[in-house]
Amino acid sequence: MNTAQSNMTKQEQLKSTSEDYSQMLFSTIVDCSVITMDLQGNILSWNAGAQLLSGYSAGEVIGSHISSLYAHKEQDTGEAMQDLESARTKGRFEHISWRLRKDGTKFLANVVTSTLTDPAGTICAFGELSRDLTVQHLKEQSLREQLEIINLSHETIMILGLDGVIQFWNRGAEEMYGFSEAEAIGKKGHEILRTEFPRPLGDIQSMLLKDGRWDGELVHHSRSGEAVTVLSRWVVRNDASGNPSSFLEIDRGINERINAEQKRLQDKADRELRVKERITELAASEKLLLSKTLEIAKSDEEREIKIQERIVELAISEELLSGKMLEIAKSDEQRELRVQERIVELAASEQLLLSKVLEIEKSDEQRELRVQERIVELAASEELLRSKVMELERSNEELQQFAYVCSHDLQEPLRVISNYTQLLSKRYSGQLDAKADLFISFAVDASKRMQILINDLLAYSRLQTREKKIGPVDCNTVLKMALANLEILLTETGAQVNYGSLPVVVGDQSQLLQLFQNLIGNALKFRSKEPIIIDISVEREGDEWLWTIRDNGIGFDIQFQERIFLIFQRLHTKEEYSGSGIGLAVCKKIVLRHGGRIWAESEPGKGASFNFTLPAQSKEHQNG
Amino acid sequence: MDRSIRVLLVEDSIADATLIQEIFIDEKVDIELTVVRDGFEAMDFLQAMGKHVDATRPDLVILDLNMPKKDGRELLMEMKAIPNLKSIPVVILTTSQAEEDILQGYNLHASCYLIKPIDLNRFTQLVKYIENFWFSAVQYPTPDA
Repeated sequence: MNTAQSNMTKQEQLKSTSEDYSQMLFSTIVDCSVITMDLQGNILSWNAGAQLLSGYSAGEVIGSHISSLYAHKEQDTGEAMQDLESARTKGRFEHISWRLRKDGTKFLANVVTSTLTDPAGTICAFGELSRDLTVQHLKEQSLREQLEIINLSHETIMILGLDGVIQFWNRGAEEMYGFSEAEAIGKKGHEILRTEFPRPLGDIQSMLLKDGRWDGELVHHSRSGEAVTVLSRWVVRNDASGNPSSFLEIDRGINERINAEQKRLQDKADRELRVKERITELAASEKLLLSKTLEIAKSDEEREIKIQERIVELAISEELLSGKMLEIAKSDEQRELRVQERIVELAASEQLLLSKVLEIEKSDEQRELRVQERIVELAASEELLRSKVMELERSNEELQQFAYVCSHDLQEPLRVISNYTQLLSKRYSGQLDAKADLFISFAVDASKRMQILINDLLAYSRLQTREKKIGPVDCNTVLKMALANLEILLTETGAQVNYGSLPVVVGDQSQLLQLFQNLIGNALKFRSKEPIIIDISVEREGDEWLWTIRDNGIGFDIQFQERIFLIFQRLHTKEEYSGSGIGLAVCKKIVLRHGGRIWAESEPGKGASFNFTLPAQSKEHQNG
Repeated sequence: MDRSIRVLLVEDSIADATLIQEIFIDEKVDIELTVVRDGFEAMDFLQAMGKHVDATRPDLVILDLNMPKKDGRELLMEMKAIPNLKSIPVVILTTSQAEEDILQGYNLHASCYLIKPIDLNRFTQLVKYIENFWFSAVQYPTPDA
């Protein structure tokens, strides 16, 4: 090595030695953390203090970004970069920052970040000095908490210096005396509070210094001037050397207690007064009561006497009452007796009555029975009657049918007999002998008669079997028809029939025709030698028409007037007059079926009149 | 008509049939008369069937109502239902005087209703009426060929 080099080397050596020492100092001091970063914030160097503070060794952090040591790195607020930027612009930036230890715990650091410049003045790196504030912070926090507790209690707590100057004034003090902390601190406490001491202050202070504490009553005055009586406790405080430097005063307001006490005494006095008054009152009313009681006693006596008198009266009237009652009892007895007798009487008559009732009941029963029997009888006979009627109706009907069928079937062979006998007669009359002719004529006659008989029977029976056709019947028409049917006979006999205007009746037209025809026919048949005159007349009688058919024929004996209406009854032989004897029976049947009646009047040789009634037309049928 | 009238008499009673014929003879009634004994035979004749296959259509039918097996009413109804036979006039000649029967006869479209008289004279009279009316006055239809 040469001199220049050695000169330089010496300076350099010094420089490097100082640099080395600086380096060593820097590296080894543990009191504070000293680190360097590049312009981006990446850590370049890391000293022992940094390691002690954060727990990370140099090897672990060199090359990492400073933001990784920030406690809130998760939030990624860019706090680190902001801090660096502040440092860059200001050159020196002091700030408090929450950092992260290797074990994960947080600590509060007082950080000074500054820029490192090269000889040209260009910023080439950052440097950071950090100190742990955590303990201090915690201490401060603890202190704040303690203060908070002191204030929370609302006790009046003050710290005064020995000179009486207020060093500490809590919230309680403020509340009690009205002075704020700012107004109180630095002032002489006992001046602003205008304290009234129970004994000279000097005495109190001596006692305080001697005992270390003093308790007593004081009267402070609040900011507003109000007197506040307190129970005060003073306690001495020593400084670090152990010498008394200040004292703690804690006051308890006893204003209320005193007031309460005064009030209590007042109340007591009042109460005693009232008790006295009350006693006086009671005494007065006791007198009153006594006199009242005497009065009552007196009136009681009087009443007692009255009661006694009353009792005597009652006793007397009770005797009277007894006497009366005995009387009543006696008369009651007599009445009782009479009642008993009466009851016996009644019982007897009741017996009688009962037996009478039983009798009546029995006779009722019997009558009831008889009635029942009668009813049964009647029912039976009604039944019988009904069945008889039905029987009769049935047999009647059967008979009708029988008659009809009979005559109908009888006709057939009869006709043959009749016709052939007539044919015989016609063909062979004159060819046989006279007797034969006679015999034949008998046969012919007989069969003709029989034919007529059967026809009449048939007609008669058909009257019953056929349904009537009831309605209004104009008799003028019916008479004309009857006369038309009898025309041949009328013409032959030259008969004269007289009639007027005939009414309308209610009935069966064909049957009425039969009726007229039979009667007029009879009049023609049973004629006398005189020319026949037949008179037909009709009269209204109530709701019927009375008809009369009079002739001037042979008449008949009145004794037969009923017989002639019987079936097959004749008053003459067949030789005398033809006819089956059924005509009038038919007439009677027809009239009866129409609800009328028929009878005949006559005298032999003086003609006959046949009378019958027919119902008149009722108003309902007049329209027909 | 230039021929004698053909009459079919439907009558079950031989006596009655004989009587009618005797009267026709007595009165010298000139007709071609055929007599059948019941409704079935009548139908055969009218339709030229059975044993009457050679029958010629009658101009007039005289019909008794009460016959066994098929009575006059039935025959009448059947005749009036057959177009070819409908136009043949039917004279009912029967015993029944019952109004129901008379009404029924006309309802069944018989031309007239006659009751067999009991009396021979009346019967003869009736035959004369029939002759004068049905065999002289009345015109008969010529059926379609």
